[in-house]
Formats: sequence, C-alpha cells, structure tokens
Amino acid sequence: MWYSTYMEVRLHPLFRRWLDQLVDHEAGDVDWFEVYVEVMALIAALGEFGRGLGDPESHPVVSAGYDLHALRRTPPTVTTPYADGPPVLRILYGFVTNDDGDELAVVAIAGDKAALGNAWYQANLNRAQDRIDQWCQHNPGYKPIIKRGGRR
Amino acid sequence: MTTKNRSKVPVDDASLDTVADADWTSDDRRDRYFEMIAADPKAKEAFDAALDEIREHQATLMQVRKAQNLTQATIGSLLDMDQSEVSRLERRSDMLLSTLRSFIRASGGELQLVATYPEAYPVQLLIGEDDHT
Repeated sequence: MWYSTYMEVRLHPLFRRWLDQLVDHEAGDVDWFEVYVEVMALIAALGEFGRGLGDPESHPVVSAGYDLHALRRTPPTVTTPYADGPPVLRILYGFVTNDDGDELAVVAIAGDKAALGNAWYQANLNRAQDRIDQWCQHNPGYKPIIKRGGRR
Repeated sequence: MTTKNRSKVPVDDASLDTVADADWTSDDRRDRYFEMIAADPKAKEAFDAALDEIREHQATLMQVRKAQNLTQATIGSLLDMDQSEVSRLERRSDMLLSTLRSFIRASGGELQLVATYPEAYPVQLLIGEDDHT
C-alpha cells in the first residue's frame, strides 16, 4: 500500500461494478479515467482521515437514518458553485461497527446529482442504506451505525 | 461548460439481487484499483495531487501531532494522560472542546472554531475562551 490508512474502507460490490464501468467509460469529452482517479483519491482520503474527513470533500447526509455521508467530487463554493464542472458526483458511504467497537466505512452508491439537485439524495439514500444492510448480512458481526433517533 | 450528454456518468442503479456470491469474495480487488493508478505515472501524479490538496486543509489529531514531531507519550505527559489514553483520544470522533483545545495547545497550536454558512463570511466562534476585556 502506498498511502497511509486510518480507517478500513470497503466497497460494496455494486459500487465496485460502477467503478469498473467508470474506468472504461466513454462519453463526450470528459476524461473519465481522470474522474476515476479523483474518486479513488476521495476514497483514499476517507481511509486516511476516517470520520475526520470533512468539508468540502465529505458532508453528512442529514436526512438519512443511518450514519450516511457523501463524498463530493466537485465541492461548490459561495462564488463558484460546481466550479470544476460536471459530473457533480456524489458517493454515499456509511459507517458500520462490530461488537468489539471496530468501525469501518462501506462505500455504497454513486451518481451525478446535476439533474436532480438535492433530490438526488432522497432518491438514493434508501438504496445506499439497503446496500449497507446487504454488506452487513455478508459480513457477519457488523451492523450499520444508526444516528440517534434515526430510522429507515 | 460541457453539455448534459457529454458529461453523462455511468448510472449506478443495479438492484441488490444482481450481486453474485463471487462478488462478495473479491473485495481484495479494491487494491487493484490503486495498483492501476500506480502503474500509470500521469494518473499517479493526479492522484497524489488530489490527495495532497485534501491533506493541505484536513488533518487528524494524529497527523497534527506527527507534523510537530511529537510522540503520544510527550503529549500524554503534557496532558497528564498515559500514552494509551492519548492513542484513544486521537481516534475518538467526539470529545469535549476543552479536551480538544488542550491537545492542540500541547502540540504547540491554538484551536480556532469557525462556523460557515451559505453565502456568508465564515465566523470565528468564541466558546469558552478567556475573557480578555
């Protein structure tokens, strides 16, 4: 491994499938391999900083019942929203834990929120939570971290 | 600005039942993604640059301590904690502001809290600071 890691990051198989598509994707004049490299840098940062990863690279998804967060490829600023141009990628991940108190991050789903805006979260957070549930079913001992008062 | 069509990202809408059993036993493929970048000097450069940019404005407590060439034992002696307590503190996601401020001061820094709001200037929060009046 040629970068240091602070928290283990696991990728849901369906997210890996999307990542595989991204590597070889061809559409218009976007350099998709470059986008892929940026996504991997965000994932590496999540591994390096864990829960400490914050604005603008990661934001909590407040409307989710699970402890869900979004990696952001294009952090908008006050004066330059979406300055880096499309795609406005959001990558939802959540934290899971086991009985020993170990925490790790599961990357669940990705998409472009350009068309839907913040409605993209509502359209995808349940799917992200379903994928995290499924990951836990296949990794016995782990369960999703649910926010205080949070529910599906 | 690119058009909607030109920036179309692959759609990630596969249903849960399309995951094959074999997909669950190949999580080590995640290293393959990084190896693919490592094998391409241009991609590696872009990856390192992106990560360096994040590191420039984000740091864990462990990273700020290491940046000051301080050991957990040294911080512990300044905070009246043992090394293992400092280790746990560095991994906590929640703590008292006073604890955080003490840690930062022990590592030679000063803690500043900044609140940001959309379309407004950042505001430095004065919580629990000494009264300088």
